[in-house]
Formats: sequence, structure tokens, C-alpha cells
Amino acid sequence: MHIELRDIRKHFGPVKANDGINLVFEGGRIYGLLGENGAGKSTLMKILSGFQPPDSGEIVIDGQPQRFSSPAEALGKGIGMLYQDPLDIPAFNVKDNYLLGRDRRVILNYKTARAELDEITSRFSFEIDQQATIENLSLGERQQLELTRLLVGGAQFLILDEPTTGISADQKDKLFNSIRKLAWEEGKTIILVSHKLDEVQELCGEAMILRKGKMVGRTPVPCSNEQLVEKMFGQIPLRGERPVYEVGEPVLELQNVRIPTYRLTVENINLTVRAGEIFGLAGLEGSGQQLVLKACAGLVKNDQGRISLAGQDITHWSYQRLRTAGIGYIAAGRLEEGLVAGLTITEHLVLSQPSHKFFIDWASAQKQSEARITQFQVVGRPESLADELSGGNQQRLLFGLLWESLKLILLEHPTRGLDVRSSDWIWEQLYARRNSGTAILFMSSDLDEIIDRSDRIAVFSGGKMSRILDAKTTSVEEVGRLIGGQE
Amino acid sequence: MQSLFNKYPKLWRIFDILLPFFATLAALAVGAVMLIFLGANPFEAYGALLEGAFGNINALADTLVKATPLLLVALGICIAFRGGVLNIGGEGQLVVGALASTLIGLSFADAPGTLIIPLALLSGFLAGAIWGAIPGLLKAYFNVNEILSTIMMNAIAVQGMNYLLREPMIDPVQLESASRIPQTARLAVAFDLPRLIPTRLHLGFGLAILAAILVYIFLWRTVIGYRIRAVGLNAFASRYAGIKVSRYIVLSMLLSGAFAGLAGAIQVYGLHHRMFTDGSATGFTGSAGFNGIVVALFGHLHPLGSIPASILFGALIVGANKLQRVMQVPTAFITALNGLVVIFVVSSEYWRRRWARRRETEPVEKPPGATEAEVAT
Repeated sequence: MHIELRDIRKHFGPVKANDGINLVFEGGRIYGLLGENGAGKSTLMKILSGFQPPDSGEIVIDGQPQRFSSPAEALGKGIGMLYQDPLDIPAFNVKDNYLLGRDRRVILNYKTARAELDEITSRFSFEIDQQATIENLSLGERQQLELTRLLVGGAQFLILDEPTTGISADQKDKLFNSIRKLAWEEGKTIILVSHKLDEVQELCGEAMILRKGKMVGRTPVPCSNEQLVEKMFGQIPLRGERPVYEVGEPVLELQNVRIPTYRLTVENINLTVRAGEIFGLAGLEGSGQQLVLKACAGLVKNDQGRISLAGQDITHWSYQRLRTAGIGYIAAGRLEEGLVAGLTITEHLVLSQPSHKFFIDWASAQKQSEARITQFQVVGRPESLADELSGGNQQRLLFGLLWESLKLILLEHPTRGLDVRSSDWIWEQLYARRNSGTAILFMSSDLDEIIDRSDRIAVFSGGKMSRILDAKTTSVEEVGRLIGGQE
Repeated sequence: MQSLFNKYPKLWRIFDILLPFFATLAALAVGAVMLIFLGANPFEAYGALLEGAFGNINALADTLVKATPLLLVALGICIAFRGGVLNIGGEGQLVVGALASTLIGLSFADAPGTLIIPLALLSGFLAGAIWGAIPGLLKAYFNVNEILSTIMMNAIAVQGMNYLLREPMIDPVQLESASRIPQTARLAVAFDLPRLIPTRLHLGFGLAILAAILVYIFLWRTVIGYRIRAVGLNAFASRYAGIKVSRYIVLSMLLSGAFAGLAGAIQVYGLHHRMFTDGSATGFTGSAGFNGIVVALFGHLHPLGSIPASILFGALIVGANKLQRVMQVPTAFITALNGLVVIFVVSSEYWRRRWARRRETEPVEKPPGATEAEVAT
């Protein structure tokens, strides 16, 4: 099966998620698709699997141009996608799930289902108890079931989206063996979407790298991790000049912090952020840096270790209590976590202020709101709805809502999706904050931003935190190696 | 309690099934306190209730007669809730079903019963289906909240009924008299549903039991029923698998309304033999359209579970009448007791889910399908 993507373009508002992508896939091969979050991997794969149509460009299968209106239609043409979170129905048992969307008769055909399931599972030595409900299966077993469904559905071309997140090492080996068997013995085409470089190195024959919506390189693998990292993040000029800062007292201290979650456990986190310091957390998406930030904000709980703020133990404090104690938090999801769609700027201001009164003083809120809009250069009126603002203005508003004096500011992707001017403005605000003694801890998938803006850097890889780097003396190569999980 | 269930999974299953009965007992216990305040002996009172519901063949028959519309509405509720839509429009669907079937009976008064009875039941079924399909279509294609639309459809159905029974369909005798009671003429005796035993128990109860079995087969053995359940559990995954989700939303609402409509037709042909109104919906329906929801929840949204559940609620209604007569407690107590049962059963459902969830998450290291963010919260 020969698949060609011709000049695929997809825009979301002003964001070019896919900006003219051309790709050719041959049968019987395993490809790795690499790229940081927001590089356009998911968009491209969703287009290929029929989840969404491209704005322009075409998908050509064996010389025939195709248009898919649904994933089911794409599967009919032989393209199947395995999602990170399996698309199954937890309350159903394995057989029922297998039949989902397959059985077109009147009475459910369990007999054929059982036979088909047996055949495929034995071919790939999967072990799935057909009577078990999905709720009792591990994520790896649910993947095997999904894979079986796709194969029976006639998939010749399989897209695997981060398939190893959350499954055991044993199941990963099993999965990789099945993938190799599918490609090498049965001639199927496999795309592994991942940001785990080691897995791409281990499994794939060729890596394709996306950055900011464009294909920036194809390279045979195995190759060096640095080569891949460089392509993923681009060339980063190191800047020598950086504002000097006064080292203050420790503000945030983490001691042996452990945060267990279903997918990833972050362990042994020891770090100190001092007053007036900017501390950057680097790493591929989902390596644990976000969990550490959220733990500091009181939004996830660590089960071991101690977190303290200016000497005071704040472990397991609630988010509200931490706010009052002087921690500001700006989340990556501006409209999901940061702002309330449907509320105006003035209403946000009222919402963000600690108030002990029963009635809201709208007149003064309106005045304050106007003042903030001018001060933080938000393009909008006090009565503008948060969801009507552009991304940059939403971020400005979030900064405008931060309380006056803070001990610590936590930020996720402070400038994601913003233009250069807005990004610079954001960092000016942060520098002003740090000059008044606020400690800043942020994460970013923009390596340039991490190296350029931080005083010190910690790199996360698979839930482990690296040694702490001094931004002045580190190199892109060093950070790249640590991101790839090498010491 | 939790650790006990983890140790003995079988115990959990038994507890799971019996939970509604425990909830009912708890409601009766609170009711007992109220009875003491009313100056009645709770044991005597509940004795009277039991005797009223099951004491003799006539009492038992009445219980089953009351259970019939409850069961039929509950079957529709099972389909809708399994399909992920909340049908609160049982009252309205029941009313239009009754109206349509009455119209058939009045229009063809001279036709043989063997022809008219099936035709009337079918017309009730179809009228309910249409009344249910409208909110279904609004939900599936215009994203209108079905709770609101079904409640509004109830209001429309009731006012439509009031109009029809006061003017076009009114009994000609009433038209002559000064009282003008809003009711139709009695349907021809040939159209009465056959009695099962020499009591008020009619064929409708048998039909309802048959319907419960058919709905069970439909939901768990046929592809369409399976898809309704799939859509209800995970519409996203279903859409992905190529199921046209909108259609199945409409279908669940349509079928849900159809069974309520059938309940209406059976009430007319089996019990009242005419249609009447007191201006509100409950005058004719006896709130079966709402109580059916409770019955369905009581029966774990399972068609077969709804059978004993409907009998229990039928018993409560019939027994309550006796209780009121014997103990001289005010009618309000009966309403309160019904309300208590509903509150306890519905909240027991909440606890059941909480325990079930904890049971699933505790022994394994992770909740399947949860994302990082979910775990975080």
C-alpha cells in the first residue's frame, strides 16, 4: 500500500497546524513521526485517519485521491488509528467492544466474533480474556483489543499515537514485536507517533520530524539523539547577555517529592528556587515537569516528600490556601483552566479578588478593570468576554489577574501560541516581578525560551529530573542529551 | 464496609441487588417516625399497607393493575437512559398514547374488538413514539436539552388533552348536562381488554411482562439495542466506530415514548374504558409517567429488574389507600411516604456508584482510561 500526502494544510484561526506537508509512505515499513507538542503531529494524523478534513491538499492511496468523512470511512480504505486513550466502552466486555461498529446484522453475532478474536489474538500471541469487561483490563490489553479490531476491519496502514504511554515494559516489548511482525511479515505500514526518542530509535526505520507545522527532516534511524533533538527544536543560538539577579532567600523547596499518577510516577524531586530567580523546567511533553508544577500549586498531591514555601511546610495545602500564601499559577489551558468562557473581563477581575463582602461593587470593579486593561495592554473592553479575546490578550489578562505581591509564580508554557511581541511583553512582566523578589518556576516546550530566559534549568525525562544546569554555561547539546534521557 | 466487599466480591453482588430494598426499608423507617408523630402505631399501619396490597386476590390484582403502566413507562425509561438520554416526558407521552387510542375506539365503535384492540394499542404506541421522537430530534440535531423539551412536551400534551376532552371529544351526554365533566363516552364493551382472572386484573399486565422480556432481548441480543447501549456509554467511541450517533439518540427517545404511549392505551382499554381529565396530567396518569422513572432506576435500568420494581410501587400505591382508610392518617402522609422511597432509592443509587467506583480502583493500581488530569482531580 502506497500512501502519499500532498501539500496538506490545516489552519486553526491564525495558527497553521499543518503548513504544506508532503509525505510518502511505502508498505512494509515502520516510520517514526517526531515533533514537540504543537508541531502538528496530531493534526496530521487526525487528517490521515479521517477524523477531520484538511483545509487543502490531498491524500492519495495507491494512485487514487481519497476524501474521508469519518474515521470509519478511512478504516474502510485501510487506514486505522490506535489512540493514546483507547476508544472503547469500559462497561462492556471484550466481545461486545470488539463488535462495536462491526456487526451489521440484526442479532449480535457472537460466534463469528469469538472465532475472529481467537484467530488474531493467537496470531500475535495477545492474551485477552473475552469474558472480561474492559474495566478489568490493563491499558496494554485494551490496546491489543483495539489493534485487533483495526486489523479485522481491514487496516493496512496503522497509526499508533504514543502507544507506550502507561503500559508496562513487558507489554511494550510485546507490542513492538507485534508491530514488527505486522510490518515485516504482513507488509503493513506503521506510523509511530511519539516523543520518546529511544522508542523511535528502537523500532523505526525512518524518522520524520515536524516543527511548527512543517516537515523539517527525514532521517534513517537509528541515528544520534542529538540529531533528532536538533531537528525537533531547531538551531538555538545561545545568548550570553542576560539580566543579572540578586540571589535571595530560598522561596520554594522540594525535598524527595514523589507524585504517583496512573501514567507516570515522578520521583526524587529535589529543587530549590530562590527569591528573584527564574527556574526553567525542560523536557518532552508528559515527562513529569507539569506534575511538579501542579504539585507546587496544590492541584495534584505528592504522596512522599515535602514542599515548603519560604520555610513553611505547605505539603498538601489546597490551591486556595496556597494562593493566599502568595503563589500565583498560570495554566497552559487558558480557556480551560485559566479563564471562564462567557464571563467578561470585569467579572474575571471580581472573581480573582479575595472578597469578604456580600454584594459586588460593580462600579469600582469596572474602574479597576479599565485600569488593568490599560496597564496590561489588553485589546478589549471591560465588558469583553474572555473567549472573544485573542490568545495573546487572554494571556495578558491572566497576568493582569495575578495578585500584587507574590512569593512565587508558576507558569506552564507562558508564551505558547503568542507572537514575538506578546512573548517579549510577557517576559518583561516576569522580569519586573522577579526584580521585586518573586521566584519564578516555569515549564516550556520551547527550548529557546528555556535556555534564553532561565537562570537555572532542570530537564525531565520519563519522570526523572536531571541534575540542575546553569543556563549560562549549558549547551543545546547538553540539554538535548538530557531530554533524550541520556546523562 | 468497603474492605468487606473487597474481601468477598459475592457479598457485593448480593448487596448490590438488594440495595433498593434496603433503601425502601430505610424510607419506611423514617415513615414510621412520621406515623408516631401522627399518633398511629407504625406496625399496625404497615400491616394495613401490606394487607391492602397483597391481603387477598382482589388486593393483589389491584397491585398488578397499578404496576402495569409503571412497568411499561419504566421499560421506555430503560431504553432512553441506556441510550444516554433522559426522558422526563413519560406523562405527556402516556397522555397522547391514551388520546390516540381513545380516538380509534370512539371512531370505530361498531367494529369488532379483535380488530380495534390491536389497532388501538398500536396507535397508542405510535403516538407516544412521535411525542418522544420530537425531543429526540431536537436533541440529536439542534442540541436542545431533552430534559427541558420533554417537560415542555408534557405541558403541551396535557393542555391538548384538556381541550380535546372539553370540546371535540367530550361525551355527548356531558355536553347536554350542566356539569360538563371533561371526559369521553365509555368505549364499547367489546373493546375492553380481557380479564385474566375474575378481578380487575386485565390482559395489559401480561402484555407489559411480555414487553419487558422483548425489551430485554432487544437491548442485549440485537445489534440495534447493542448500539443504543454503546452510544449511551461512549458516544465518542461509537461515532468513531462508524455508528450514526444522532440516529440512535432519536431512536432511544422514540422507543422510550412509544412504551409510555402504549401504557396510555392500556390504561384506557384495560382499566378506565374512557379518557377523562381533572385539568392536570396526574388526574389520568396517576403520575405513572414520573413514577416509571423511579421504577426503572429501582430496577437498575434493567427491563427484567423493572418487573419486581413496578410491583413494589404498585403495592405501595394500593396499600397506601388501605392504610389511609384504616389508620385515618391524612392523604399527605402517603404522598410523603412515596417521596421518601424515591429519595432513598435515588440516593442509594449514588452510594452504589461510589462504592462500585472505589471497588474498581482500589485493588488495581490504576483506573483504566483515566488521563493524568483526571487522576489529578
